[in-house]
Amino acid sequence: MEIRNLTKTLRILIENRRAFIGLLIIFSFVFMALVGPLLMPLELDPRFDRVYAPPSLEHPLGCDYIGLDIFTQIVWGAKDVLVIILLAGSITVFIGASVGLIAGYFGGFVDLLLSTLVDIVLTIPGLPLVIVLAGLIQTRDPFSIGLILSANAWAWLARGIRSQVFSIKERDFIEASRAMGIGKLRIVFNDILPILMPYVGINFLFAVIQSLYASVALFFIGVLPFSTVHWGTMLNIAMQVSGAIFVPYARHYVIAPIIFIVLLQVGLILFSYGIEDIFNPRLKT
Amino acid sequence: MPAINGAIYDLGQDYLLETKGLTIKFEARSSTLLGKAATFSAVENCNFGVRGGEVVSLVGESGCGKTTLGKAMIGLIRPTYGTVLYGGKGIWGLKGRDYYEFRRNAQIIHQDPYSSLHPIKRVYEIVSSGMRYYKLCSSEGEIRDKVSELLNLVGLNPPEYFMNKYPHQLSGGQRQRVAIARAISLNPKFVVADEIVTMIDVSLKIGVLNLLLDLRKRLGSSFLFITHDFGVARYFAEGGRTAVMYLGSMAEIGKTEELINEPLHPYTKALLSAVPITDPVLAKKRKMLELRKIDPPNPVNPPPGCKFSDRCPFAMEGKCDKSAPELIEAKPEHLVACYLYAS
Amino acid sequence: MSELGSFKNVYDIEGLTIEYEVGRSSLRAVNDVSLGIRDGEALGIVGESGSGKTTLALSLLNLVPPPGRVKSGKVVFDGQIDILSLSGEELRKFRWKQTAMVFQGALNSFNPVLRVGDQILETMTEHGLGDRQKGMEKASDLLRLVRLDPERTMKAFPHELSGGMKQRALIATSLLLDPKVLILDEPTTALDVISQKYILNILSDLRRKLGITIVLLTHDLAICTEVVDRIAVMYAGRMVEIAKTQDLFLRPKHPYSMGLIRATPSVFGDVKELKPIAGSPPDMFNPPQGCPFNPRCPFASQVCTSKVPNLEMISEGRLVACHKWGDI
Repeated sequence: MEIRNLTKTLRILIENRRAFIGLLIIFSFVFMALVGPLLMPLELDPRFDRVYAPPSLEHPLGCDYIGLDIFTQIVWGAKDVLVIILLAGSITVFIGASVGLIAGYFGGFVDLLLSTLVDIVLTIPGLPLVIVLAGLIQTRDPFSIGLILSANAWAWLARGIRSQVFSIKERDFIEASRAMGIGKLRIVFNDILPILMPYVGINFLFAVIQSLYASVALFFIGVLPFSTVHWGTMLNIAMQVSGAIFVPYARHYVIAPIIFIVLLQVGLILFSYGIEDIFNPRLKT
Repeated sequence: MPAINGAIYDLGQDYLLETKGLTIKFEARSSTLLGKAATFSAVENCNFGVRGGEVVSLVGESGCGKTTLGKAMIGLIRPTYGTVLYGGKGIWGLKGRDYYEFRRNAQIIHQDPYSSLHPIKRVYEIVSSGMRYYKLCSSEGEIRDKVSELLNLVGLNPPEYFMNKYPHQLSGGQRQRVAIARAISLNPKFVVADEIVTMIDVSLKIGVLNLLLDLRKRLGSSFLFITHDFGVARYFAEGGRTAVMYLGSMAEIGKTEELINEPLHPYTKALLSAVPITDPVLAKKRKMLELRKIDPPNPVNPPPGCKFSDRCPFAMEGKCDKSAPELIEAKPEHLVACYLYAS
Repeated sequence: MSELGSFKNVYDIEGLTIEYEVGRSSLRAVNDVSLGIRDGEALGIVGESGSGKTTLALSLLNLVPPPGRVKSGKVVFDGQIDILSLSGEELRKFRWKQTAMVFQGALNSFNPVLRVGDQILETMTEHGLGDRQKGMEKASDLLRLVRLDPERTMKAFPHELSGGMKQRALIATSLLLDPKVLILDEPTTALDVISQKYILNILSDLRRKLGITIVLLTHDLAICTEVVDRIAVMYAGRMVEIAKTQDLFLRPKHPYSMGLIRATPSVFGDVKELKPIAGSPPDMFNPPQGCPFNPRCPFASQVCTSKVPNLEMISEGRLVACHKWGDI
């Protein structure tokens, strides 16, 4: 039954053209991240004879301020970018959904406690919070970076989920589960969560998209230490360290990472159009 | 109107599920933004019980509290005052094994087949959820067999075909059968059927009712059949009892045939005289019991004393508008809450 | 086949077929229906979900919503006006002035933030009932006719009125322009039994006092014993039987009518005689061949699965669409 499900899911996606294109773009990036580094070794020694070399057949995106191939760096950076944003999205959704579900279904004192926490987090402005946290917790561990990035985002999801749980828990089929004596936690995760999956799925994607911006920003302004070929780092170097932005013929060094960031964003956004379809049982039949 | 204290009528007899002085109040919000929240009693001081293996129809107009009463009896709604007893023990005090035993034995079938089944689960999962939770079967294969058996019992044949369906692929009548299968999956002693044929086509109603009656014979469960349709109530509880509710209070309880042929409470009389019947000759001859007021009062603002007193053609001034009458045994096994029968 | 009658018909429906186009398939909601509605009568149109009765009623006002389309047939009012060819201004003048309709679930169509009186006023203005004073007087008269207190009702907000009261107010409103015909679609479905009885009595009263023609749509055959003189039974978009009330109940000639009567539980009569109708409602996207009722019919034979029976007059005022009516 499970394999049949997968092919049905793929078929649904194919029918939604925007989502399908988005998916293709995302897969290309994943492919690039996984396979790329195996095909293109990363050079580390500067080649001063190639500083700011313009795009050519040998170097499709040109070379950077110390003559290293830009495209190779992009390929090597893809993995870090993807891992961080996927982790950030997952953590956001995990915390946000759990808090929202439990606050919404259990109500009473539990709800009061959790909602107060959510409200407090929401009053703190998002990006500044992330920047401050990143500055304080100087880390290179992608998981920790993911945690930092989700610091504020989970609260919005918790709010949204909580209010949806309020209305779902009044529905008859939930009452039937209660009549059977099925435990609260089981009802929450077995009955209610599946209905909210489209909402959670969309929010996951949005969290991923948002953390792409945020992570690039963090690396760009140099708050997080860079030892990776993260695209944000590349932008940092391009703009601030090497001053490439002031050099007209070095513009390709600045533009390259931007193009790929935007491209990934577009892929994610297009794919988000298909999330609702995937979780709609009517389309599975 | 304050609940009557002290004189709680003891229904005697061995009841499987019983309510004593049950009162449930809700907050009614006014529809306008600045309206004050008023409380109204959905159920007021109800003494009622259902015996093992019995069928009881609970009849009343929408808003009379019958659904609230039914749900309170199986512990889905908390009483404001009064108690609900299962086998003599208060259900809200049950713990551990006793609690689970009660839970397994008190089930509900809802009115709306379009909202009573989980929209994104297959019939197989829906029907087996209870069995799984209580770990009643030792293997997936056993669960499958049991689900097949249940689907067979409720007339969804072949079971293999229906097991994999999602609710939206089934008709209203079929969904209702799935809901029935789920309710009996734990072999409960008591089932509340809340207006279960109201949203089903006329031509199919009797079929579903017959199914339920057949299941009752097989399982020996009690059924509390809630409905606003007297004809359906009679069909289901023929041989059992019928209870009539008005604005949250129990008006009359008695053996079905007796209650219909010799109604005691003026409200019951009015209802029976107004119910449409399929005999045009008889229909023309009948006269409806004229009430002093056509329309029921606002449930938030019932009349003082007996709730029916402002519409009742037999209301006695000074008595009926002073305090609400208690349920008394006017005839053997025939209870009525009306001063006309108080000695 | 047209209905013959020596009475004047306020509506003549001939060979009406209406289809709904959904995606690539189409659904025939009304299939070759012919019916004459007599002036001053109370006609009940009985059918369950999918029978087509609502669509048929909407066609009397040319109100069939897209994607529904009239494929063939005519609807003629008063022997003169072809309803389906009316449009724009003429249609506006016809609707509510000659024929009015109280829709299913209209109870919920009240605006919760306006008083009932204001909403009645709104309706009047929209239909060009100019003089406010006269209009309100008329509304009060009509409210009294439906046994509502005009002052209390006009001042009230919808949530302050019970379901029965709202329905009666709606009936009164629909009579503001003195229509000849009043169509009611399931007027008592959401109401309690006592309110229902009062409304049926009031409809009888209105008929007597105002001489209007009443068309009552319902799935509940039993309420037709109250106010209705004639009953037209529909199944899967087709008219299957038309007869006087008494005749239909005492001697039904179509297996579906018979099945319906036997399947309706009642507080009187022998409980043992009740039987459900076998099978399930037809799939309107793929209706059965021949007579649409044949899969569920205990009398069905070979001819029933291939040939659609025509609506034929078998005696004065009685029409049946069944190959086997003689055997029943």
